[in-house]
Amino acid sequence: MGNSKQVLYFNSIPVVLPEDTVYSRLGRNRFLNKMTEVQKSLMGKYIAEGIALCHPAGCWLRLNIVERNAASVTLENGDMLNSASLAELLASSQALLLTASTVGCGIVEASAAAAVAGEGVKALVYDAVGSEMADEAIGWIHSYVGQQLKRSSEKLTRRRFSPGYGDLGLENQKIIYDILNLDKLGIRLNESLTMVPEKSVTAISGIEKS
Amino acid sequence: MTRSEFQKLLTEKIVILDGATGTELVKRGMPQGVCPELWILENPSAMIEIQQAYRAAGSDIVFVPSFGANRFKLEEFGLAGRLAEINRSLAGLSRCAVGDGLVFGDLAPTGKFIEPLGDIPFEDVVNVYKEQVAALLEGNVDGFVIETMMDIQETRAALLAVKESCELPVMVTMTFDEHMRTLTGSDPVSALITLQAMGADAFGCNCSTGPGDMLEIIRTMKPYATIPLIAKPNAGIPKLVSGKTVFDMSPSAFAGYVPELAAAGINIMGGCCGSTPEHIREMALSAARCKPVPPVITALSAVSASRNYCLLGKDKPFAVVGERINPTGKKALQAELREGKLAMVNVFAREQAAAGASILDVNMGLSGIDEKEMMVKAVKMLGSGLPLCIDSTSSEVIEAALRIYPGRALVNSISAEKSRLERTLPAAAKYGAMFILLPLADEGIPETFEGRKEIVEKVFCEAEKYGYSKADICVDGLVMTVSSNQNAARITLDLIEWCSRKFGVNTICGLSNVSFGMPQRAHVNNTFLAMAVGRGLNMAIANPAAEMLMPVVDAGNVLTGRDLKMKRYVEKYGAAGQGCKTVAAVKSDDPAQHVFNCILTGDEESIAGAINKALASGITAKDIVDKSLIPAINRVGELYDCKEYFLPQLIMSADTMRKGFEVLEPLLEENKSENDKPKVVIVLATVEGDIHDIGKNIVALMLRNYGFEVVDLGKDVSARHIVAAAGKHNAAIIGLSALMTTTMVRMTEVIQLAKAEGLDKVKFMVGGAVVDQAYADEIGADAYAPDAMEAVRIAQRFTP
Repeated sequence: MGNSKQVLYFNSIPVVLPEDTVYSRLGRNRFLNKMTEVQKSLMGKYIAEGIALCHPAGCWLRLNIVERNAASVTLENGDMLNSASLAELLASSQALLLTASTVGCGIVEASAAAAVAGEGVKALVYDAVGSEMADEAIGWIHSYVGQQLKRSSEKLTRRRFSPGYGDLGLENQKIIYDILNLDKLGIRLNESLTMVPEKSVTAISGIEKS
Repeated sequence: MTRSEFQKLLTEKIVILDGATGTELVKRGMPQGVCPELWILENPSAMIEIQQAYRAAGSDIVFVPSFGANRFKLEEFGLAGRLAEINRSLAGLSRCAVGDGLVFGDLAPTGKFIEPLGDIPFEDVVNVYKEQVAALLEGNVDGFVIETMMDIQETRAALLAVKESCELPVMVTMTFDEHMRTLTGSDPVSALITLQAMGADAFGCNCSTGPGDMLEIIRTMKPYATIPLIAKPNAGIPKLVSGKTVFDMSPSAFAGYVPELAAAGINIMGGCCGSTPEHIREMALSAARCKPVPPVITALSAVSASRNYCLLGKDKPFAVVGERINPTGKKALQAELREGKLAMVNVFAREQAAAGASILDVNMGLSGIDEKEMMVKAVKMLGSGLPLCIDSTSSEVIEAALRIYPGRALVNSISAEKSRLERTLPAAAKYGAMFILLPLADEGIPETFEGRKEIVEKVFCEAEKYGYSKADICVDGLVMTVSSNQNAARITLDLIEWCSRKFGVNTICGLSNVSFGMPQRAHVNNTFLAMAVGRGLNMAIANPAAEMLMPVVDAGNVLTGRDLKMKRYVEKYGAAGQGCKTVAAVKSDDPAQHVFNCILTGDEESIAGAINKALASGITAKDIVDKSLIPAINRVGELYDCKEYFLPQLIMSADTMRKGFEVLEPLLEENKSENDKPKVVIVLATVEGDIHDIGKNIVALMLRNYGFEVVDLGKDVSARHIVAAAGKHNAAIIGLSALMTTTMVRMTEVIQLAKAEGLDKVKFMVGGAVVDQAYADEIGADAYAPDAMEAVRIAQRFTP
């Protein structure tokens, strides 16, 4: 893998979403749950419609870590990410991977419209499909980068972090947003540092020698 | 080396490739982070040593170490300006290392992604590969290998670059994961169908898995391969040992798979990551004892997309080519296309796939639009779904679509018209497309069976000159409407029978033409279809959602033996029957019980009928509510609590309950007494700054279904607005939702403002992913609702 500091964008990520992941997100206990054929068919229909409403896109960038301590890491572009958990995750990493994905606003709008129309199941399933598709899209980018890294005897850390979780404050969302120029994916950041469209995800992983 | 010399070599023996290069270079001191191609040129002895070792071990072909020597990759190291020199020198180095051994130029992923996946135009990538191919040709390579490919479209770009630059043999290998998919979702058979049709001389897989897992991939592909197959596995599955990736399969264990690989039909083998000259030596020794298994077929009736394929033929299931993506007679679609939009095209594609189409016809012929531009746009959008049938009268449009289509398309159509034979036929052949042979000529459509048969033979004769075989074409029966000529159906049926039984090609028909101008067209269409299936028809251009069409197709597959052991038919219709039984099982002769069951199973369709039946039997509206609806929804709550139901089922039942109330409400109003209480009002909102509202929406829905009046203020709502609404509607409860740690703090503002405004009797209920009981206590909320069902229970508790 080279050292280019150019963000690589994917306009259309080929996400294959297993139905099971949507059921899991919706809290189905597959050992206990019982559904009628009609219910299964309705769920399948909404999941398929939801998938068609998603347009997964994403991007990634590799940045070297130039300085670190127990509570933060500093990147080659001068940005600093403050989080003890993240610093611990990146303890053996010489670089990190910033990734982002979104599925666009179509699914969010359709879910909201369904909720307004009183179609609760549809709204709920669309929402779950949107979330899972955004997660799968990030997963796809990680698989792609992971495969590329193999050739330079490197690998990604197994875990990844997202702003707003643990001690990685949501203010880091702005840093990632700016570095990855997420405007290019049609994502904006509101005053509460929430990404719009809602079904958008960012993540940080470490790049280690294998 | 010529392509025929390459094929001849493969009939004589299992050809042995080289093993890993990267891991061997690291052993010889290549540091991490450098450009491997440049390091090799600066340290040529290392590479010469590796390749001589592989040659001595038995490699018939070694790969030039030009894996990352394309413009995009070299740019990452600031070396794009030296591209020609680097490739030429690397080829020279390999030639010097192996003497009279074969040297193949190596093309690999660019690291960029082609539209629509990425933002690089297809043609740019073709040109990037062409530049590398030209330099490797200057270095005197004997052929090319396109390897470790993850994306079918990029693989096509590389293959086209080679085919448009030289006549040398070209091998292609892609990388499949444990689910037998490439990173961009292609399966081995789809990729094989696409690339062998385009002229790859051998196809297979490399990297990612060990030899054992590759066996399965090879066995999957072999029945469909018209070209030799390749396996270049890793030396086992990588393991992490002391923080380092290790491939620990020994050379003898690696070579132990050779007999099985050979028996599965591998004609070319080598090693990838972790393999060494010793692995190759053992492999070559074992392979020398095996006889190569040539491809089992010489031609294949099949079309593909990037992630799907469809096999055609008299013993394969009948294929319906969905006809709806065609603006003719569709005003709404025409209007969309004129605006450059494709939303309806997407919907038609999805609907036809769901209805049972195997292939989608795409026609963008409409006056006032740029047909080529819209066709290319549509093909880019639909390229990963079902295989496409490119339908146009313009050879230019067809060629543009075929160039960027990431699969093997079906071209609709090629006739004996001069322009079709001179322009469309060579374009279809270049990209390996199958085509629909239309029995018409410049003079028109022959009125007799003999006239049409003559044209079929003439066009096929022309097609053979481009390498086409009978497996690659489908003859269109070209049915005319029976309303103007009652012999029309017979002529077509005779042609279908001759084509399928004697001439030996696929047959297809545009079904709906036959009934034009007739009443109840579906009757005529379906009867004609059944008759044509009986005469050998194996494809139809039709709307798969048309009345009774798919049942006729499915039954036809059973009756003609195309549906082996009737598996597909039983799966489809047997399952539907079972579904009916499940529903029937919850029906009851007791009207009150039937209403109860409708709520229990969330059967929205039946609830109104069930309630009307209960009313007709003399049960009062109030009793239906008290003795059926409420006990049923309570039972649903219990099933949810014990996890037999999950949230969607809870909501389905709640939605059914609401529909039931809609029926009963006028009757309940009539009998309303003065003592009946007014509905309790609950104000709900997602707090300011937060845009997540699905949880709040579900709570609103559930509360409404349980008889509360909900004022839903939406998302990102200010404290002032929430408190004002609560005052205005005399709310008993305010429900607040937040998903973010940064926005949950706004809940406090609402509670404090409400108190300051004197809303002392209002109860506060809070919820959301980051909220918990402790936080609710901390901010002075009256309750924390972890889910929608609990929110209902809390609301019921607050308002007895």
